[in-house]
Amino acid sequence: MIVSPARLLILSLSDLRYEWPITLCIAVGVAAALAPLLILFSLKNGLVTSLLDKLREDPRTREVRLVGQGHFDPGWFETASRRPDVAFVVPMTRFLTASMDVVSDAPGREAVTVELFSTAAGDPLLSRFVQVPEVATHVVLTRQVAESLGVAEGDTLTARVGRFIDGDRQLEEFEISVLGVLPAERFQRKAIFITLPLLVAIEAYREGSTVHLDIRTPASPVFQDTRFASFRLYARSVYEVSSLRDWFAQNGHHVVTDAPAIERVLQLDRSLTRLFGIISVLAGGGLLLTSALSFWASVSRKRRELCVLRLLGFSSASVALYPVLQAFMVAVLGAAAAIAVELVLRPLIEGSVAADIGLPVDTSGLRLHHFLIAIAATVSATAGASALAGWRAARMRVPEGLRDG
Amino acid sequence: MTAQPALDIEDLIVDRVSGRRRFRLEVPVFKLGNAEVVALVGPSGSGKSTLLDVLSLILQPTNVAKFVVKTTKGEVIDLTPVLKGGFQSDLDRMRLSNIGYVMQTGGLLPFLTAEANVSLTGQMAGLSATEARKRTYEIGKRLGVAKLMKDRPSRLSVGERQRVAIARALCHSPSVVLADEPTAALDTVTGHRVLGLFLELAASTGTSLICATHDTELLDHFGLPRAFYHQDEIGPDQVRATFSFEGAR
Repeated sequence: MIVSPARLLILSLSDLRYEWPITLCIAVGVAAALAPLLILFSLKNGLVTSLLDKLREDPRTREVRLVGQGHFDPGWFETASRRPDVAFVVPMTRFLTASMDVVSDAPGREAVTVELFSTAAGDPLLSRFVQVPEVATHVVLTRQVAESLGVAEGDTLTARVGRFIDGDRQLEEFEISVLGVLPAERFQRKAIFITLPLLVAIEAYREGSTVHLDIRTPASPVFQDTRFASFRLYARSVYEVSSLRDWFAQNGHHVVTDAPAIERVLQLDRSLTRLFGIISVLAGGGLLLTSALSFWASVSRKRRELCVLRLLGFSSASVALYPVLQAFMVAVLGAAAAIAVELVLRPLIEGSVAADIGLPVDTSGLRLHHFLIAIAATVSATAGASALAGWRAARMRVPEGLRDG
Repeated sequence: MTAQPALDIEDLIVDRVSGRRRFRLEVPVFKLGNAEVVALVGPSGSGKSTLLDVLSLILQPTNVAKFVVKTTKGEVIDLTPVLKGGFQSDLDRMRLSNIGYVMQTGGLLPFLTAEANVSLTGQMAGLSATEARKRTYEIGKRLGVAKLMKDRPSRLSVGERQRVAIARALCHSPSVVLADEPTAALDTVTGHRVLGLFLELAASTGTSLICATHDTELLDHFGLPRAFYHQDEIGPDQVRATFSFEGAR
C-alpha cells in the first residue's frame, strides 16, 4: 500500500529528530563538503571579478601603444575607428614636438615642461572624471602638473611654445584655462590633454611650417593631407586587446599592450575554474560516498523499524522512499548550514585575502541562484546516493527483520 | 450449517533451507473460529514463527490448497490464488484490515510516542486521525496504558511496551491477532497480567488469537488450547514439522 507522502515525510522527520545526534553528524558531513566549495567558488569569483574589474575600470589596460612612429593618414583613422573592437582613437603628432612649458600666476612656481596629448569626445581616459576640451584654449591637466603649478579647475595658465629657427630662439605664448584635473591614478606623468587642432598647430609651429602659432583653428578642421606620427587608441573591452594587437602586427606596426596582464587574469580564471572543478569532483565524490554509506548503514540499523513499517502496510516503494526522504531533509539541513558558514566567513576571508594581495576582493558575487544551485546539487547527490539504501530497504526480508534485536 | 471460521487453511506447506539443512513445515488443516484462541508450542526452530509469518501474510507459503479469511466485516475472502502468485500489495491490504501482530519485544517504532505507534495502525487501516486516536485511548485504557500514551517507548517498561504493542495490534479491530512469544521478555507476574489482559480484550472484541510461546506454564494457567506439534526426519538433513489443529488440546 502506497503511503501518503505527507505521512511518510512526518514519520521520516520524526525518526531524524529522534536520532538527532546521527542526523547532525550526517548534516555536518554534508556541510563540511559543501561549505569549502562555496567559499572557494565565491573567492574564485570574487578574486577574478575584482582583477577583471580593475582591468576593465582602467582604460590604460585597453590601450594599444605604438612603438616608434609611423605615417597614419586620415583614412587609416577612419578605418580604425570603424573597427568593432576599437572604442576610441585620436591622432597624435611626433613625440618630440608634443611638449610645451606652462606657467601659472601662483607665487613661487616655476615653469613646468609638459607632454601634450590630443583628446576628443569619448576619450575613455578622461570621461567620467573631467570634461573633454572642445576648444584650443581649454585643457585638462594631470594631477602632477596641477600640483606643480598650484592650480585647480577654472584657473588660467600661460603656455609657452618655443622653437629654434636658424639658431634663433623664438617663443609664442598664449593663455589656456584649466577645464579639469585628471586624478593621479589615471595618469601619472606631467602631461596636458589638448584638442587635436592645437596639437597639430604646435607641431606645425615647432617644425617651422608656420610663421606664428595659430591657435584659432576651427573646431572641426580638415586634416586631408596630414600624416600623423602616432595615435592614442583604446580597445572596446579587455577581451579585444589581443585581436587589435594582432591586427597591428599584421599591418607591420609594432605595438605594446596589456594583453599579457589580461591573459594572466583570464588564465587565472581558467586555472581556478579547473581547480574548483577538481575539488568539486573530489568533494562531491566524497559526499556521495559518505551519504551512500551513511544511509546504507542507517538501513541496517533501522532494519527492524523498516520491517515494522512493512508489517503495518507500508509498500516496498514507500519503505524505499523512506531513506531517500531522510537524505533529502538532511541534505537541505547540511546545505543550509554550509551557506550559513559561507555567509559568516565571507567578510573574514574577503578581508584576509584582500590584505594579502592588496586588492579589494568582493565575494558578494555569490547570488541567490548560486545558493539554490548548491542546494539542488547537494540534495540531488545525497538523495541519489541514498537511493541505494532505499533499494536495500525495499528488498529486506520482513520476517527476518522483525526478529532482529 | 457451521459458521465460517476466521481462518480456514488446508495443506499449507512452507519449505525453508538453512545451510545444508532443509526444513518443511506442514499444516494439514487449520480452522480458527471467531474469538477462538490457540497456542503454538514447540522448541526453538520448530517453525512457530514461520507459521506466524505465513498467517500474517508477510511470507508466502511454498504451497497451500486453501487459505480463506473471514474479514472483520464478515466478508469471506479466498486468498489461495493470491498466495500462489498474486500481488504482495493485496496481501498487505488484507493484513492491514484483518490481522494484528504482536512481536516478542513489542516492535514499537522508537521515534513515535505510544499514541502515534498505536494510532498509526488505525490510520493505515483507514480510520481518520480522530477515530484512530479515540480508539487508541479506548484500548489503552482497558490495557492500563492510556496515561502513558504521550511517552516514547524508551520511557516505558518492557511490560508497558508490550501492552502498547497489544493495543497497536487491536487498534484497527482485526479478526485475527498473531502473537509471537508476547510474554517472553516479561517476568512471570507481568507475563500473566499482560496475557490475561490480552485474552480478555480479544474475547470482548471477538478477535481470534494465535499465540506462539515456549511458556507451557502460562498456557496451563489460562487453560489455552494448543496445536499438536510433531517433528520427524524425512531424509538426511531434512526435517518435517507438522502443526495439527484438529482437536487442539
